Amino acid sequence: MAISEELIAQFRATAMTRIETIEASWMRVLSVLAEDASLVIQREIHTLKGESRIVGFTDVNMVCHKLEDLVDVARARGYAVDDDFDLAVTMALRFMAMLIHKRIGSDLSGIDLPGFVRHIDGVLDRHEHTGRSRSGSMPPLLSRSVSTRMTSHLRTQLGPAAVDAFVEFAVAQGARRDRLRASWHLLRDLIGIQRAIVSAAQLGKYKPSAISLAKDLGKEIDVVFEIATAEVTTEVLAAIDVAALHLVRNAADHGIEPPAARIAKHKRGTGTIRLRGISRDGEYVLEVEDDGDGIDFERVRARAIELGLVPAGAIVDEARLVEVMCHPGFSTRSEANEISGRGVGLDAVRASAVDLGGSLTARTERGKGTTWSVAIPVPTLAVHNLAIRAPGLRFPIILDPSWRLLDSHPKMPIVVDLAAALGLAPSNSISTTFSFFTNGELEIGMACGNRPGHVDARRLITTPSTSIAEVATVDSIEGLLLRPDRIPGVLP
Amino acid sequence: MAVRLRVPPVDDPDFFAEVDFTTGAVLRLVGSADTIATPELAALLQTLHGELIAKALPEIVVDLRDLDFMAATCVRELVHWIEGARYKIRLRSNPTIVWQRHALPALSCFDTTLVTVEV
Repeated sequence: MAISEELIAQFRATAMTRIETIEASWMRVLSVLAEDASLVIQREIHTLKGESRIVGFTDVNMVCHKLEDLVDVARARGYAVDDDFDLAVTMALRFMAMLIHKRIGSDLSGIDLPGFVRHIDGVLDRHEHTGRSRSGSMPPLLSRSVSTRMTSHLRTQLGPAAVDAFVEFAVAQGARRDRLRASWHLLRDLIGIQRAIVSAAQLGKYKPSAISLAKDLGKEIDVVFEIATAEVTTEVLAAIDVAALHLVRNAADHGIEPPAARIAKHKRGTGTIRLRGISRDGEYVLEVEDDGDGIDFERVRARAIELGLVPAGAIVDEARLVEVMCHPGFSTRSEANEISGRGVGLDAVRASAVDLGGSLTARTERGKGTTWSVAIPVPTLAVHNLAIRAPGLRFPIILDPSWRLLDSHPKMPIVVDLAAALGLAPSNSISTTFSFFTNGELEIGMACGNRPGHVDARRLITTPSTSIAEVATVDSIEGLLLRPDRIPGVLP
Repeated sequence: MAVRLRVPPVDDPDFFAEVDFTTGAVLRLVGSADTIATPELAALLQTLHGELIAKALPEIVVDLRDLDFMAATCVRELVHWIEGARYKIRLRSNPTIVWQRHALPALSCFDTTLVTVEV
């Protein structure tokens, strides 16, 4: 099956970002021994390896595998590696970058992939790499530090600053407005919600590679997609994508049995991997189900004891053993092959889900199969409520959905000047009419330049619930999503 | 006599680089190319690339025989230069220096039609 140019272009862009991330993390782990950087390196390489296989970049896949070997050795040594080793990792990353950049039809005759792989093998030999044995203890614990990535939590914390930047820009004029536009747009692009669509078409790209992988392992599989199309953020889509990649590969490699073994158990010779995507209760849930042999918890338990992850003789339930399976570096395989065995896949899936406040769980039954389930919270992306135009403000104000319009004039409303409430010059308008709103507890009046009407707004900049406003768009026009109870002086 | 490039060559207490166009093009790197030398080396290689293209020179010799050490960040710049090269690059090496013995053959793997290692 031919890989589309679009998919290859997408792979190239994503792969280069991954390589840059690995390079930065590699330099960081060598200088400060940061555990988070170490884990990022492992996850990114493993994911890049899987992705490169999907798009048929077998050369990149091969160098990825060698790079994983190098990182295994470095990690086992607590990253106390010499310059020779550092050079090898650096060149391997650059070699991959070159392979990713190469164009179909261009002259590739000068690239000596076997020679380069021999070079890496030589470095591994010099550093006493012993055939990828994993029988030793877990890698040494490195120092933990706060991730510098722009997490959703950090974005929310920066949200109020972005709201201020928007308000200042929106009311500014002339050259000042041009200058503030640049600041607002920078913040908006940096921390604004970016939307993406998760769909069967998006995840279907993993089907050919899963079938090919199974074939290489002497297995036959069907991959079935039951994916509900949903609007999510780009971060959620990326996490779903990583989960689909690793869980499908794991199912093909570890879950589904060879045809003969299946037939002996009165199963169809061809195994089935079913991906189910459901949007529910503010989460997107991806389930990857296989009808394979199920998780062998005795084997997991024995391996966990061997690696010192659980004490010998301790009573450990299956839920805990599933957690152990997601531990960085855990694998029931004693040796890594080109597909699995490094204990990175499940760790990568869990980490990308947990980073977004989600979770990874498993249900399994011996002889029947396993279902891995990734649940990731999806922020509320759309809001339907009243919008008003306020004197002195040139952008729409959308009220938080907990507020509604009052039909009659309340006896003792709190009247607010929105411009002043936002820290701007008071509008002092005398020509506008007032509308009154309530959230069931408070009643406030606001000067409105129009009759409040219902709109569909899309959240753009999120803020903590204690902030006065967020930024949202109505028909692509930027405005404020207002929490009237957070206006100074409104709360008793 | 060396004909210098228009930009100042890299010259710090530990690392020295110069280009000689007297007989073809020769880039000589001497000393220890530590991380701190990376921006200067990158700038030098970028200018050198422009000069080689402008002069339509078919090849350049990179004399590394007295280069005791090269940090990974500097090698990264060297790789970047090789990726954009449209001329042959002959790496003149010193096999008694360990990093050269190990790393230079790998460097030639990026493009064996352009990069050769001479002992």
